[in-house]
Amino acid sequence: MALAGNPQVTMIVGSGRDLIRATPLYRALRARGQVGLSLVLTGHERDADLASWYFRGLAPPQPDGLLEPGGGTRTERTARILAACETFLRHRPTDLVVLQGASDAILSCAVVCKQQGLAVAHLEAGLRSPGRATDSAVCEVVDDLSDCWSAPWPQAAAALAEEGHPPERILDCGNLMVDTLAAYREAAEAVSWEGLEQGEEYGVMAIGGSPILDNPINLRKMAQAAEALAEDVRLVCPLGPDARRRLEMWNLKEALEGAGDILLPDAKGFLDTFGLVGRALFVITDSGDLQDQASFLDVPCVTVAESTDRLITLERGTNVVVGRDAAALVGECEAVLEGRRRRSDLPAEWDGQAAGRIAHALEDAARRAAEKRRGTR
Amino acid sequence: MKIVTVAGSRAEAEAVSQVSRRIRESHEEVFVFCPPVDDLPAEALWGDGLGLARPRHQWVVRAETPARRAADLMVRLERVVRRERPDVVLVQGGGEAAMAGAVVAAQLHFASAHLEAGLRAPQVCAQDDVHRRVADRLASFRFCATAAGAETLQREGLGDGVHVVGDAAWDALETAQAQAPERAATLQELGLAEGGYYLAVVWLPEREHGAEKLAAWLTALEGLSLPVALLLHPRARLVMHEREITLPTGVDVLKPLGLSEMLVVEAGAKAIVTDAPAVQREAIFVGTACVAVGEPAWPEAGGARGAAPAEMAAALEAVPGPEGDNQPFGDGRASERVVEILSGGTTPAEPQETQD
Repeated sequence: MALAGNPQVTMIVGSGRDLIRATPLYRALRARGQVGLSLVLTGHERDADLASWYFRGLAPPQPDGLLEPGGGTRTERTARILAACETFLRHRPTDLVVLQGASDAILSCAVVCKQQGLAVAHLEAGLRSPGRATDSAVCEVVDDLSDCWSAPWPQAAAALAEEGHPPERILDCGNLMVDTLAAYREAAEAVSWEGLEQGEEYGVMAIGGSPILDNPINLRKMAQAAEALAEDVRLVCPLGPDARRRLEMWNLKEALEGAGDILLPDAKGFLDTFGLVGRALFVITDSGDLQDQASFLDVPCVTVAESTDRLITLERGTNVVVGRDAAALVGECEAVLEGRRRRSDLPAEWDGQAAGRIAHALEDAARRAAEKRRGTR
Repeated sequence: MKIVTVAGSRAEAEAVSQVSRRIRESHEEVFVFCPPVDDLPAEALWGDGLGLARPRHQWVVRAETPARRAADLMVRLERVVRRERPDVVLVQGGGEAAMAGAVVAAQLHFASAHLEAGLRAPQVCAQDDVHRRVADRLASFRFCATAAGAETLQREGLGDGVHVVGDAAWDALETAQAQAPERAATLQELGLAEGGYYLAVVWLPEREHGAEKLAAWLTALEGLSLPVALLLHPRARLVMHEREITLPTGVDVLKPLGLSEMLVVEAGAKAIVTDAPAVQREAIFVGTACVAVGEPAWPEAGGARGAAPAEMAAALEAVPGPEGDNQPFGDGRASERVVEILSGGTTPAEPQETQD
């Protein structure tokens, strides 16, 4: 509901997972009522189906608009969002655009906002992987075009300052994702997975990214590591449709099904997975979300990627990065099983109250942007 | 080595021309020319002695809006880059094409190189500043015309892959100068008297409110002490045509000029007034005083003086002789360095490939 005279804020979120991350901020801005607020999701209509399996038990807010990338190549989808975002913003008076995520779609939206001279705030800003992986390059570009940044942890704030962004506009208000995790912790404890009894010990392997799924060599390494681990511990590997198809395609599925103590359930939504991670002995993953969850819950995490942009999880010792080295991966998990692991306390700013602090700062930013726009007219 | 060179306008094609020529001396080049309008006579560009190859791909990609043009360019460039599999995608300046080329290269995991890296001029054109920033961030090779550009990149945390090579566009000016037609005859043909006219070059970089901005220009140019020769960017010409804007007395429109002719007309002018960065650089090159409407694009070169649109007439009449230091633009060997660095810094796609 836009209140007359209030600055107008448009939040654009990149995907379903970005929507979950941004929801606490959306609710805080709405509850405070200082700005007119609209919410836009980039993705396909099926992604925006908020009743779908991924959002089960979460009830996220309903978007006011949808920017659809359509099909085709990565570049074609990026291009379509450019045009769609431009059309959308031309018909919606906006003082401040708040972007969540570091996807190609969010890059397109950042470009359009700046072409139109709009002020931009980037949530989850300053994420940098050592070695400048492509995804962190997208985050860098979006940050470069933004006017205000919410850094989820101090390392991210430092990276932004090093790139010459003015420190007074880098918000070090804490990790928005933690707000969601704290809010749903109890609900997640109640989830159940078929084949798992309450109190049973298990490890989790959850892999969904294309560097592993699209590469038979990497996928075989992961399957072999899973088989080795399943000799020592019950291993739960939730499989999305893509993962299941690839395992079949490269004849890895049968061996995996025949391995020691292994469960291969269908992957479930955010809340169910959060619950699964919460009771695990360890988590093996290539997903940033699961790294965050494991770190929040103090569950040891082994990241199977070349690097991670979640530097705080490394610093806290809850996460190690092993590349695609199956031996190192098994070694890290064995160390956990043998009781050799670090435990750590939550950072003080992970109090689940980041949204209120960020909302307050963004209201100021929106007010400044509105004054500036009125001044130039 | 194989390079896909992208030029999104005539000015960009001119600026990159000497790099392109040197690439073709010992490497393979696919030249892509994708201007927003198609009104320039081909011979003005390809026959101007700049040594530009006829483009392998030439598309007119309209610019109803910057986002739509960028989107269209990205889709077309992707097909070229996928087919050609170049070692480097080379882009220049701050147009939509520079950004689109850099984004496509990054998404397909090819290297890209940005000429004129590190230039930040939001006051000249806010939209181009966005494109520049994206191209700089994604490029593997960041070729700066000036040391100031390299310092800017350093401040932004982009210290890697930075090479201060000088200004490749300056090289093009030297080449065009060497081919320039005889001055007196050219001016006579255009009906201009040496030192007896002002040259106004209108670009209108931001697309919004084009008619109002053009009208403000023409009002300011009315009643000056000398006649005004007016060169309009195709977009400005379109605005004039569509809105049926008439010219004030004393102002005459020139036909589009090739770069070498352009240098003659600039050299013969009493003073130049423009909002186009390329023209400001040319004014420094030929040594004619120049008023930059808005802000000067090359403050470090000291050539142009800035003036608000309403003050341009007074600034033009009062402007003293040029007092530029053109050293920041380099020594005319930027193109040579660019090609040397590109060929040293990349692995050929096929090791058995021989240089022809």
